[in-house]
Amino acid sequence: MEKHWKTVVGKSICDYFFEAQSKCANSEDVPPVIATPHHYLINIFRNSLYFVAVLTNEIAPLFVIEFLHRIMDVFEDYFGECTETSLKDNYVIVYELLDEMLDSGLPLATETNILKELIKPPNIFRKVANLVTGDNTNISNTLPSSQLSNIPWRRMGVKYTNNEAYFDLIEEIDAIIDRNGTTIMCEIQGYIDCCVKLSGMPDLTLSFVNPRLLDDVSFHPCVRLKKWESERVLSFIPPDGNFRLISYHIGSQNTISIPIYVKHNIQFREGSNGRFELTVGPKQTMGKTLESVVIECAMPKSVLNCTLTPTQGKSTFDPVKKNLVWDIGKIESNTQNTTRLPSLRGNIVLSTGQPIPESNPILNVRFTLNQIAISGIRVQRVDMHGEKYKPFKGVKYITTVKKGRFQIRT
Amino acid sequence: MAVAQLYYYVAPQSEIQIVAKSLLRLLRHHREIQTIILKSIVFIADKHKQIFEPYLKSFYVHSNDSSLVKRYKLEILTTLANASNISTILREFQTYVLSSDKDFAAHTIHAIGRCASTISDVTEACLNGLVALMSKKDETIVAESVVVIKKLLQINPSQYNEIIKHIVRMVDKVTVPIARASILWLIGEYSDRISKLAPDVLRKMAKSFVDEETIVKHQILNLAAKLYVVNAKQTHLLVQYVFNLAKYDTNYDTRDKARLLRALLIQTDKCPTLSKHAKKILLASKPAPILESIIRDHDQYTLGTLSFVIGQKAVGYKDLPDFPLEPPDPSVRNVEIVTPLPSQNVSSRKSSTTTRITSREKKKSVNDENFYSDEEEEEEEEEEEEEEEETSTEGPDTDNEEEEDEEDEKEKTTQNDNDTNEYEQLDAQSTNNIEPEEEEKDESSGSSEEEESEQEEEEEDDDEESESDESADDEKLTPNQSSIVAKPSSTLTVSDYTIPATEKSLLEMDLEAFLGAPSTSTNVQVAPVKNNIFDDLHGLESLTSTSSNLVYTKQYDCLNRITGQGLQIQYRFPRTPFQQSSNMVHVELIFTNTTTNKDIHSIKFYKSKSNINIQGFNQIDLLPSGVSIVTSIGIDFNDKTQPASFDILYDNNLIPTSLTILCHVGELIEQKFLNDQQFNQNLARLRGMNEIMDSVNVDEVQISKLNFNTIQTKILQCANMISVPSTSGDSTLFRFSGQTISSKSLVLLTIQLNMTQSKVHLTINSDQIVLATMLLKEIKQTFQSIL
Repeated sequence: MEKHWKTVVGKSICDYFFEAQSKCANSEDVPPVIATPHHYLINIFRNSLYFVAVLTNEIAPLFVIEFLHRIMDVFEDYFGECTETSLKDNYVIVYELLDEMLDSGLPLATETNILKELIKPPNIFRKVANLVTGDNTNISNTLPSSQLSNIPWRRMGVKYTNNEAYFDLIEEIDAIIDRNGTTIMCEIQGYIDCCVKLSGMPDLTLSFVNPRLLDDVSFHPCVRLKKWESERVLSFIPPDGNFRLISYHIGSQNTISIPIYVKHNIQFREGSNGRFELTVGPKQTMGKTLESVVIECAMPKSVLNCTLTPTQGKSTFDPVKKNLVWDIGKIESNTQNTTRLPSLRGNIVLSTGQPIPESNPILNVRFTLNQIAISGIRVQRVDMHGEKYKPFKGVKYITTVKKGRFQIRT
Repeated sequence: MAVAQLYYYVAPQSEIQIVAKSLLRLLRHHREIQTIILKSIVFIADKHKQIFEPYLKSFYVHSNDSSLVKRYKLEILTTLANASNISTILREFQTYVLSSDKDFAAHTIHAIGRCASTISDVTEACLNGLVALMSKKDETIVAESVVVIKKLLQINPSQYNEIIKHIVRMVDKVTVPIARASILWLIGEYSDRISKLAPDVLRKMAKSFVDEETIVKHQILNLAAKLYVVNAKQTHLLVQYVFNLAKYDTNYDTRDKARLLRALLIQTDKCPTLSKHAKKILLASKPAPILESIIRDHDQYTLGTLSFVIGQKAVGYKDLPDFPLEPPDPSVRNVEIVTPLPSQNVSSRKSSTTTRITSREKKKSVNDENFYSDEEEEEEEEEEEEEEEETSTEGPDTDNEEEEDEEDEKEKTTQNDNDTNEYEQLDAQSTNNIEPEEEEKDESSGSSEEEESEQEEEEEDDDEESESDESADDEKLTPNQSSIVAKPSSTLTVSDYTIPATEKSLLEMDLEAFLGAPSTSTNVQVAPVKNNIFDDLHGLESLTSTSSNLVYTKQYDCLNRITGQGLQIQYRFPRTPFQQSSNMVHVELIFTNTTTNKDIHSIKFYKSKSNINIQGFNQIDLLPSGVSIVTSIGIDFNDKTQPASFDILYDNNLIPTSLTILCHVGELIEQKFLNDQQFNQNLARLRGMNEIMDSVNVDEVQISKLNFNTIQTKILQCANMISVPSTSGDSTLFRFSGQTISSKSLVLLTIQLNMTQSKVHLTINSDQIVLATMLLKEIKQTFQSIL
């Protein structure tokens, strides 16, 4: 599908993109910016979909990329997911959204709150109504009132029966551990994702127990920066619904204790087989349970098959992609007894004739740790001013690992 | 990114550090963003290595990064490598070499080579590592390491004979053309050191010459030629054979090269001069190549632009201009301050007190000192002309008007007297000033004089007269006064409120003329005058209700009489609780019909425009010309200073007129009496985050004058708070309490005088910390300005 602003660009422009795409073996390796004789293509790749923007003029590429991602975010917000089928199902809305988001080639309304006022998100009732009335537009007749206000992120006159504010403090560990178990690199990327459903114009203040940990932060535009600088307190009028309040980064200078350890023994031997042993255990989890632990391992090409038996969970091996997945599940923190720790043992069958792999595969570990933020950041209190009612406030801590960001070299 | 761009180009060395952190944070975003940011970092790191050094570990490569990202990260690591961190980087590189992504491994080897060449300490270690790599099974890795070794050897060939020999032995195993070519080149270049091996290699190569790649063929030819020069006896036939093979090669480059070398070496008779120098030509010492970054520098393009990313000029790309050699005109930095009101005040006062001139002249002088001299003057004159016309043509009506105006004037002046009264009494209390009554008399005599002059003259002249009288009085007075400082200083700083009466009236006339013409509805005229008995009554009421002996009322314009087509609306905060709702700030609106002969009908409250809750006023059915009506409205400001705006309808106009009411922070607070104990209890509760402090420096003379009354005045000027009776008897500690009107949260103010350091310490404790901050600022200003 395509949409043109200003001038129409021939579809043949895509050929350049497909050409570049076909050159790359991996779909992630396509260069984000491609220069063609007259236009410049900027593409993003998410959810196995490519979004390509065509430019004719000099413009900061980051700006375009960010905008493409924002479009994707909006689609996800509207349709719940952004896949080929969901886009095809909602062709009309997609075009309407694009119309609103980009005006004459310039990004216009990108806040989902405002867009939702302009264009109603799809639901079953609306579909039925559209069918009956034959009215096919979802564009509302009123202009969003807050678009011109000084707080563009919040709608006017929000009303809820239950006033709730939820704060999810999510931290993602990004680490590389070498074969001896020493941490080479460990960083934390944290977010506070909020779900605020409060009536009126609440003014929230959020303070941390130990704000000095946050030295590298980026805020949602609603946060009053001055307040943060002077008092280390987040003071803001929240947008309605879900949003990311701040994201912060704790760099490798800080010492971070990693709550998991993996003992491994992987050997490839001449004679078309190898040994594979893994043991996983918790470490310094502060009494919390490691949940949904998954270990993935991309085996070298020469591996034919693996016959492995786990003591806990389930392991599968994909012989085509050479991908070994071991889904362990929960690991109780109090099991100090090594015999009860989950382990995976077995043999690796190598294809004959090929040289044995030089290096051992890299293990990707994923886990979540609830009720704790690994960096030690805690929310002290959340206060609300400006409205009379007493809201329900909830804070949740999650430590997790983004796919492929926690690696153990073996 | 744009900020990073700015910093990169403009910031001094010391400040560029800031960029690093935020750029690194961006690295956590989507793959595409990563790519571009990394590319920019490569570029920045090239110039400013030090800023990314602490974050070295952030550039470690994850196995699932996209290939571009990997390459950029590698590039950055290489750039950042220095003697201190090279060991960690090399260790990291070693793991990369083992990675299953062969392409990436090859790049890593290249990077190792670059590190080795830039940091001489580790060259040896790198070489050894690379040689070890050559024994790996993987073709590409071996080939890459050979190429890199070749380059490294060139830098310092003398020490590494063993390595050369080792490499030469590998020539059979290596199949990648570029690596073979490199080996051959090495042999040719250093054939003197491996004189036994070299001819043998050539023999082998000659056998397989036909099947080799072009690049290898070239190197074989080179090798042959070099060997011929060094060791012609042994290799003569072989060289001839190779040249003959090359002569019939399909590639014309190879043929050309063969012909050239043949001419140079064998057919010496054709070009004798050259062939004499053949040895020199072929075995000239070559400068060591500099191992370059795999990613070309895009120095010519501005960082972060599209052109920068794609490495070619995009349509519409503009280079950054060079730094100007000459400093720009400094005048562009001067911001024009448009503050006609105060300047007007000051200048008119100056002229009134210092000089005694006739009204016209004075007016001119005022105008001269003014910003916009000509226009205003003209307008004013026009205005006057109009008035004159009016007086001349319409007899009885204008009489009325004049009378009314006169009355207004009277009211104002008496009012002003009242105002000054209050202040002077205060001053008297504080400074034992004996004179005020005398002055009062003078002033009242001035105004009575005005009252008596009910002639059909122009008022201004009248005013001027009294004005000059007044200034004369002033001058007379000053020597009499025991403490001269008190009075002038108070008039200076609180000038807006306590300008001597007659002068005030003149000012107002002027201002009306000024403000009327450019229809500035937003221009809040600070006309702090209490007009009528009604108001006084309110004052009394508030006196009784709040048991405070001071009432402080400012009046603000919200609808100009020009824009309101004769309807003028002013508002003020009477500081009394609003009857209908205790959460609302009581605001009084004063509707004045300024027209001469037109009645205004049915003024009614239409609706609130902002989301602020406003309790409107009852409809006013009729507002006869020249009459003022005061109504009350309640506004729930929600403890914020955001202006409340609402629409009113009048005269059956269909289009509503919108009014905006600005609320000062002090008006959001109402008095809340607390005793000493309660105060302390609440103070203890509102510690920590709810406390803000500040201090004001004052000079010694001033601080000695601060006592309870002066301080209370000052506080009441800013905010509606009540003092807390002190039981400790500490004369340097003053406490005030109040609560916000909307949310009823306490605001506690503590003022501590520090006599020795002549400082005033202000502390506010409140839940509403935003409000408290603003209040503190305002109080601080008041202290600074008055002292």
